[in-house]
Amino acid sequence: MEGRVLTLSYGNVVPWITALSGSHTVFAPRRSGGDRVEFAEVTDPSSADLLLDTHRAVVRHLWQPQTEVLFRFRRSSEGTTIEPATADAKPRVAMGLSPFDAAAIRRVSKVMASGKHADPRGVMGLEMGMVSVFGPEPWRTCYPSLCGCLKCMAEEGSDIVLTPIEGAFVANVTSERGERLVAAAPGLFSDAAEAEVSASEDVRAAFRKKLPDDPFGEVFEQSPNEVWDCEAFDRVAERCLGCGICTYLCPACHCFDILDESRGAEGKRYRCWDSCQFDHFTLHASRHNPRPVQAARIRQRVLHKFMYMPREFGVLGCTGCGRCVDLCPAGISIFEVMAEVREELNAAKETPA
Amino acid sequence: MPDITVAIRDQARELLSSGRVARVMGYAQDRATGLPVPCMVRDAGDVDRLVFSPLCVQNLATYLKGAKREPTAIVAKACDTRALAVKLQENDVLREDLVVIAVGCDGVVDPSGVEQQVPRWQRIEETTREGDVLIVRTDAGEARLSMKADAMLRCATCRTPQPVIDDVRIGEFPTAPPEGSDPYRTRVAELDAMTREERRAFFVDAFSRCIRCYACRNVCPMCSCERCLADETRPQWVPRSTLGDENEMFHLVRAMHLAGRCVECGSCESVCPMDVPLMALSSKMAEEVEAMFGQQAGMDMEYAPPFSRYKDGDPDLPGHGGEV
Repeated sequence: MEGRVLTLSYGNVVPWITALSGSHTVFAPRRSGGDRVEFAEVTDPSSADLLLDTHRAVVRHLWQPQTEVLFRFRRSSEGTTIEPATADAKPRVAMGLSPFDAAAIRRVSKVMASGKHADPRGVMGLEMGMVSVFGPEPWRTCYPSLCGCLKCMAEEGSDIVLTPIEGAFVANVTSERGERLVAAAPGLFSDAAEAEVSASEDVRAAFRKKLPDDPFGEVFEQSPNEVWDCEAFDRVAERCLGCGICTYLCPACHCFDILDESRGAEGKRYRCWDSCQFDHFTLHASRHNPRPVQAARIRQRVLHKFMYMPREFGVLGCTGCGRCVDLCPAGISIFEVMAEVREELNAAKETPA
Repeated sequence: MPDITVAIRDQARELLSSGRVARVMGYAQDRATGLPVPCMVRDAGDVDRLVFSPLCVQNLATYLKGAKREPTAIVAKACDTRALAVKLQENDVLREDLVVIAVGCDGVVDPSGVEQQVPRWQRIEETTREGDVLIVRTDAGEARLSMKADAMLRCATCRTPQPVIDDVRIGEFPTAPPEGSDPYRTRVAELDAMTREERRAFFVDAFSRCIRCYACRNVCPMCSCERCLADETRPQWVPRSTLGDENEMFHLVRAMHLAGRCVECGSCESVCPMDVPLMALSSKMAEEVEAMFGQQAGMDMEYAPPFSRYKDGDPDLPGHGGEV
């Protein structure tokens, strides 16, 4: 991995978070009752634990709250006044993410925070520092190998990659922003010894070894017309419940709705998360629905991530974290849907019409 | 191969080839993981996909939602037939369209238990029973799950060892419910014992976690509204914002709508990705209805949910008196 290599003893993690808290809004994993782990804004640095297993934790709120007020309005005899919502002015830093989550969030930036349609609030939310933890174990339903190179993915999203070794994290500082996060508490880091660097490389290598092989890949080359009619989508739709677990737990999903709520002469306009898996997601005012069945919604989810995102932004809309696979109440795996689509297309190629 | 699986396949083959039904809803092994997942078989040649094991946790009655009229056979554990009974009572599905293949069951086991023993399993190869132990052989080792300790919560005090409704019976049905206390009702009792403020804090904390993915609603066999109030935007009865008590609004609406209808299968709570204790409300409502009307939802085809019928003596009609 490129960048400066430092070590941070486990005992220095809380002091580091404390040092950052003054100048930053810091998010980190913490336990919240029972076995549950959540990413929350750090109010008590000692409750933050960067080694917690976050494979069931929501990450999207790190850059976009579920409900984000855009402005408030009030009507009176004088006319209508509009008051823009204030936003957190402090820079944000998210710690304890998996490398896939950090990469996913950076990919969302390509949609929400760059080009001529950059969304100012998207920029604000997405321009955050990310400190990821590589290891110790990949999650059971992870498939990050689909990116081809986990090392690239770690660098793609993270400003600092922490690898847990005996007694300390080895910190690969891969960006300017990462350097600034280190500089906020200079005494806490030290240059990594050669043995520590190689121990961290071993941890990452062991991590990569535990990942399953990439079961697909070719499907990305297909044209939408060929993929469109695949029966795999219909088969999986029979058991899909149409809930929003897969999309709301996804670190790369970013679809939203904008709504007004008012009472009397006052109200607010807000943006809230929305899911392409909901039956009314594309419902028009005319009541026409261009995605009238669940198979069409599943196809949208798959193609958005594996065809439209690569075509428009040059990256997959999935970093293989596997949360959707793990949490689906109907046991649906997006990777398995992909595999079935590929098989179907290959079979079609072999038997010309 | 377990006898139950063989018998289910035989029944399904006969029902499909005779034309009695157009489809059979059952469980099949997921191609990748080998876990039993809901599946729909339409061709008698495909019945060998069907399986049954104590890992079949889903309540398939949910999948009858919004279906067009079509003769359907459904594989149902005895407890799942409660949901079918309510659906029939509410005309959500018509009796002539339904063939109930009731399957004897002495509990189903939460598949997440496999991961606790074999963290990196990818594929289940075989599932076998040894008394009260379910042995799940995976590509990465064997998990031994207890049919008691690892069972789904609803199984602890199964109220339906025998099905409420059946057309075909497969397997052995326990004659008596297991001994033990109902974990959902126990929690209701704990909440009842709290002060008003403590209880309030419990629910505020619970609902503040909700992300409105609606998995609870969509997995619920009894949530059968064609269009949910929570999805309406004109007017927006239940705000989609999540800044204050809007989540609570959604869950209270749902709990009230399920009063007297909830069959306490616990699917809502078990699928919730945020661990919201949804059954705390639903079980409380079930308990209240039981106390008032002396009946539990879906336990008897004779008794439709109390709020969907009128009886002169109903205790919720002051002054009407008469027998309950």
